[in-house]
Amino acid sequence: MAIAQEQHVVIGASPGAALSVQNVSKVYPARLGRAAMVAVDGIGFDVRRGEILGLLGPNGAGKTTTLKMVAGLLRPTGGRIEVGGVDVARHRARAVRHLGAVLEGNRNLHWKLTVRENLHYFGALKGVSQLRKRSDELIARLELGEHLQKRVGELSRGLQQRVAIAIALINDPHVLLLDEPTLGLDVVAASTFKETVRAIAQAGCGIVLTTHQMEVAQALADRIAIIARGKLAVIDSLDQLMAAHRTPGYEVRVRGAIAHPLQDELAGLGASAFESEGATSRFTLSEGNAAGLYEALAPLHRGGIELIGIQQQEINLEGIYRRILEDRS
Amino acid sequence: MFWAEIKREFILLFRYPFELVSRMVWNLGFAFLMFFGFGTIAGAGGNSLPGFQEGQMGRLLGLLITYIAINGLSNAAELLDAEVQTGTLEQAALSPPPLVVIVLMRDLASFIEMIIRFALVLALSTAVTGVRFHLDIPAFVLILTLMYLGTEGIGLMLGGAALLYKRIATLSQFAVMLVFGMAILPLDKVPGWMGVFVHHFPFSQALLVLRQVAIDGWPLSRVIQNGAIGSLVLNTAVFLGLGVVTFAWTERVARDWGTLNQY
Repeated sequence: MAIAQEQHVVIGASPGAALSVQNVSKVYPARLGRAAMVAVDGIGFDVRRGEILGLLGPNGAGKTTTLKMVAGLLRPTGGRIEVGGVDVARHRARAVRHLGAVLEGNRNLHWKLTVRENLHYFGALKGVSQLRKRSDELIARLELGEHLQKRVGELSRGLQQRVAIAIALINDPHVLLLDEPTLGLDVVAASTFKETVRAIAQAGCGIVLTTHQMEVAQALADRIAIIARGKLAVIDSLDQLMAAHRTPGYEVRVRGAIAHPLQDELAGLGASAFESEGATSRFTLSEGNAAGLYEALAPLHRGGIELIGIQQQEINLEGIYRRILEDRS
Repeated sequence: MFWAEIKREFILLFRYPFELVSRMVWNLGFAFLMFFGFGTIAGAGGNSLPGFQEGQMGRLLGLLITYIAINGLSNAAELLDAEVQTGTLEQAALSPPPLVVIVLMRDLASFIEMIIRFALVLALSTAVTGVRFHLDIPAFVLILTLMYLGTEGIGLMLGGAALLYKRIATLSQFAVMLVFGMAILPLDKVPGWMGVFVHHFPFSQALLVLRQVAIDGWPLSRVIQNGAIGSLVLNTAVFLGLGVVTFAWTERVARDWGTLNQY
């Protein structure tokens, strides 16, 4: 597992990376009585074409600031960002031709214009040639055909998000930035959205996705980067993170409380982490203690405690995320 | 891109017919006020600019030029405010052209819409009142365009301030009041540096040339020959240039400060 160092991480651009972020920092200058603030501190990562990178972190960690620097909306204080091999700070106009973004919030579009009008307007702004052909392709690909003449303000949140993606893809970008894209989507819309994002990546676009919804990142991301207090805490594939943070064992759930003498007896058999929640209790046994599992059932049975279930413990992305942030704090 | 802005302007105009009709009624009402009402005030007040001194034609030109100057001054800041409200400023700012080009294109689209609207109001006004004007249309449009671009330069400076500080309503109102002030104050009595500033303001410059064309009946060739147009072009170039440079600088600062995307 590649855990970033505490201080400035320098990761050079991989050849052929769609996006390369190298040792990037952002310090908001002091102004109007507010002190200077370090928002991002020496972050580095690459994204290949066709790859989805999940950028996670608590509020204020620096995720959105990082995305906005990649999009050229913010100028980094230090470091270098390349989109499609073009330096964003030095050649912003050329770099953003390879970039699309659906930024935070649900108003990336002109609500008073129709779907097609939005596509044509933003396409013209981005200097897209053969705009009508490109719009028609995206309309078909994102299944927007039956909504073309509707004003965007009249569409559901899920459809608006699909239109925002169509606009972000209008210039056929190498890199797509998605900032909290599933916020406010219902279950069905979120599921459709995930399928859409997967298809976009499969078509060769590198995607950076920020989200607070761990299940979205777990379902979509090939690699996960976790940012804490402006620094990169970890970046690795989901599988590697799972393997590194796995704490194999069993969770035993029973009905009612487990009295202290019995807890002591179970602890002697290797049980730990006793917890009660309402009418149920649970404890864990490490995986290497399979014999202890069978032995633990006997005193439970003797004490007349009803067994609800035994489950092999599996850590998910949320568990890994919490653990990493706890380690950092 | 300019065509996209024009298209967008007219789509939005016709999408809200009530607002369109309201604007027309307001413009028409104001024109009638100019024809029949302000004439009395102008006569009594002894005010300065030729637009308010010389009959119906003068009053109508005064209205037109004041309205256009105010739009030129406030359009950029209002546009940015609207973009921030709708949340589309970031999408515009991550397009390849600099934001200043997008703002300029959109303001020009708005100017074209305004000119067409005013042409309709003028046609309606003359139809109702029976007053006929003899205007050199190309000269008239050229002068108005130059004046608009000059005031747009100041508007871009205000827009730049809006990009950094967001709420600049007081500054905008001050600029608008300045234009109104210039329309009704006796310019020849404005003292010292203020007089120099007022005389070199694009609004005043355009009005002086417009007077020669529309009231004195000079052809375009004559105002070109006597250097009046050249002086107006220079004035426009200076103000517009300053506006573009200032806005581009504030855009750069906004990308440093992170205010480009603040709501």
